[in-house]
Amino acid sequence: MAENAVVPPWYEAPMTRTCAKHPDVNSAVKSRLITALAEVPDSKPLSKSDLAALATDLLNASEITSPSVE
Amino acid sequence: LKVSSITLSWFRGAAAGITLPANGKSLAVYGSNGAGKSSFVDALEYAIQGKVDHLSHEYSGKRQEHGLLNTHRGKSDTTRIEIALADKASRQLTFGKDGAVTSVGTDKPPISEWDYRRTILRQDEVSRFISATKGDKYSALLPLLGLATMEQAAESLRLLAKTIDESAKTKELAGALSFMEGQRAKHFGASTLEQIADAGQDILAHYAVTVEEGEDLGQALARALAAIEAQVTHASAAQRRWVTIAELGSVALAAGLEKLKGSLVAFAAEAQPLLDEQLAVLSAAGQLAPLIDENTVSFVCPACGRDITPTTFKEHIAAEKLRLERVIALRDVRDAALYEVTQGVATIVRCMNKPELAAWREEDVPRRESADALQRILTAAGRDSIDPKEIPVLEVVAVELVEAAAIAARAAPPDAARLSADKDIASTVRLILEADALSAKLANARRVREYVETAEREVRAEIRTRATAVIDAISKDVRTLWSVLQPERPIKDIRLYMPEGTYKALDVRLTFHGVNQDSPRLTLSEGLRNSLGLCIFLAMAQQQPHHNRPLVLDDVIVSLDRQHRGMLADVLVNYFGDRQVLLFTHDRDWFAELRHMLPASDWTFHTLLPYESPLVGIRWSSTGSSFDDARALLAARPDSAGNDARKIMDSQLMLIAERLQLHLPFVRGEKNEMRMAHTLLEYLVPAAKKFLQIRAEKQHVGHKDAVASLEDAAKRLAAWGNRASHTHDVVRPEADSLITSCEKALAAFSCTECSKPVWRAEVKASNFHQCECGALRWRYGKDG
Repeated sequence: MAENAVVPPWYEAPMTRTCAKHPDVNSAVKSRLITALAEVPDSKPLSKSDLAALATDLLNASEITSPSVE
Repeated sequence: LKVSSITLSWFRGAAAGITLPANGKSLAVYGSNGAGKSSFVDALEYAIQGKVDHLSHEYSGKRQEHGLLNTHRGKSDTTRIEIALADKASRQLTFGKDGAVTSVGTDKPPISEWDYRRTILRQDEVSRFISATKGDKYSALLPLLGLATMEQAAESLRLLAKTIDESAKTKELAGALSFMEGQRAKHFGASTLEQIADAGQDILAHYAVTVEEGEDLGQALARALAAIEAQVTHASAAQRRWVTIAELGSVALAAGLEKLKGSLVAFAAEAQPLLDEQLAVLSAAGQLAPLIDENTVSFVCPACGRDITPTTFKEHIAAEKLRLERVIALRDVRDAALYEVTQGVATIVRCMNKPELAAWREEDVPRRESADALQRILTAAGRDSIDPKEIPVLEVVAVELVEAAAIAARAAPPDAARLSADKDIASTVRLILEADALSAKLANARRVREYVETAEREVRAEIRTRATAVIDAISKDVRTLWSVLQPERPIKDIRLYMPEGTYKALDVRLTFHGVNQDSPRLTLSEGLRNSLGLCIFLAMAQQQPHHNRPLVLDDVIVSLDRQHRGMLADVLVNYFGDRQVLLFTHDRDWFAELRHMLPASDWTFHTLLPYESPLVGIRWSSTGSSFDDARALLAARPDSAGNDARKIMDSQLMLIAERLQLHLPFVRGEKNEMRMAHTLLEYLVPAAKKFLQIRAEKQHVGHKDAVASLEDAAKRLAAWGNRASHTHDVVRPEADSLITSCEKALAAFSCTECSKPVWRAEVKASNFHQCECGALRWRYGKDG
């Protein structure tokens, strides 16, 4: 799992499995996604603009650092 | 957090303050249709979720104010709900005229945090749940399982994967790379990257462009391309014409179309059988998966028909997954080829629309028609790739156009030919030099997308795991409740399940006369479906972590017959004895039955008067008697009032006869429902003469007043009860005295001192039923 990410308890198992399956994805991407998921409201999915911003963040984060094995 | 009272003022059917007096105990409320029972349920629903679901429609107003506020309240009247709890906390909701609410209270946690679906059940929700689709059942139950946030997260992840594709322009990147490969093969064949770079340097030298400090060859080539474009712009019209014809003639459309056709064939060949087989495999796996025991050695695979082990079965599933991934890769190749062809057509259209090519275009009619056809195809595609159905058209008109231009370009003067060739080569070299960066960008975007897709699958797998655990527990409770409510039905093994191969679905499986059924809708009658829905709700309520919260049942027994209504009372006593239950019913017979069946120590009973008008509002009966229904009819329809009184006596005397274990020439159960009051009185009057006793000083004596009341009621029922039912010619004084007489007759079975019925306690040693204080008693047994 990415360090310093605040993970709701019910995300822990699925995100640990996801991270284990993708050692080629860097920790910045993992942290950003986990943080974003923790903020998803339970009434509706993320809005289009939130999704676009998150997608850009993830793509940028994936290019900033070299892939690392978590 | 039991409810102590609910007070309504000018809310729904209520006028000035009306209070539901629960006092922390369970209660049953009887009211005829429209008496105002549901106003109390609506109030609780509003306090929980800030709206009343059945009022959500276009006419109820932005805040449901047209439905929530009493339509006849005066200007100074205030609409208010006050819910008092047994721990002295309370919640007050005050409504403005526009439905805006001010909410104050000391309840902790606030009532608004109660789980509505585990608190309130209404009849229409029972039937709706069972007849809902698998997806709707899933949506209805998922929040109850506490997994709604995870579901929203999974949906967000699904949308995020799509957004990443759009943001990174993965289709365009793949298309550009595919195009580059074609151009490289055309211009450089098997040349190395160094040789290609040398070709780029030659172009720079020819146009006197040098690689500046901090600049790479690609950037310098971009400047060289600008220089070439400037030369073309300033060239003569004839030269511009030759350059454009050469550009048109160099479009590698024929090769692109061949590549596209190949990719479509490969995709179809792999995808179509996979889709067909995948459906069969998933369907078979879905049926089989729940049945596979970890200890199973082998079984017949329904997909391939072979005897296989669970491990092999899992390998089959893994192989299917690989095939699916291969199809996805082929789809990407197809999309790239489509993009490349689309770009080729766009170049042709752009060239054909240039002014310098107008004459060349117009000199040949088929050429002009081809250009128009390509323009239409490109316009139809809009921002997407062109439709593969257009391939046959493109093979004729577009390829012919490019070939004609290529032939014409052979006659171009050397300087124009050089400009055109340099432009083509410079663009290609630049693309080749950028290819690594583009490939890396594409791989990066795909890696992030796949990571997000995995996250979605894992979150959904987690939802399934967690939901399955809760669903199994609920299913167990459903089976228990069903066995109480419907003990004689050959319907077994009821369980909720999430169908394999689907994400957002949930259904109810059962065994009907020994045959498995994947949905109750296939075989169960409406009554049984409603009964099953009730069991599911009650099982959900049992899973409620807050057992100190009330359970509200609003008219949920409409489709149950008498026998099963009685069993619901058993369920409430035996499985919800520790919960406060607020039960509302318009079924007078069931209400009378409940008064006999539910323990008076835990339950109170209240009767609402029939509704008169919005200004009078909801009212409690002062007598608590069902005869108030009959009295409400006296003025307008005395025959109906008399008929109503007779019907009340039919059901009440039947229950009394059962309670007193009266020896009747018929058995308990449905046959009793056919017995009429005057028939029952034929047996009850002589029995009362023998067995009903009242304490007079120190000894018990025959209860003559009670017997007289019963005899009087019997006479009036024979005279006016039957007339009210059959000839409808009873006048008001007759009906009035019939009601009073019947009420008095029933009162004969209750003690005037402790107000408890004569069957309150049983003294088996003496063969007595008696009231709580023992003043009234009924001797039973052979000797009386």
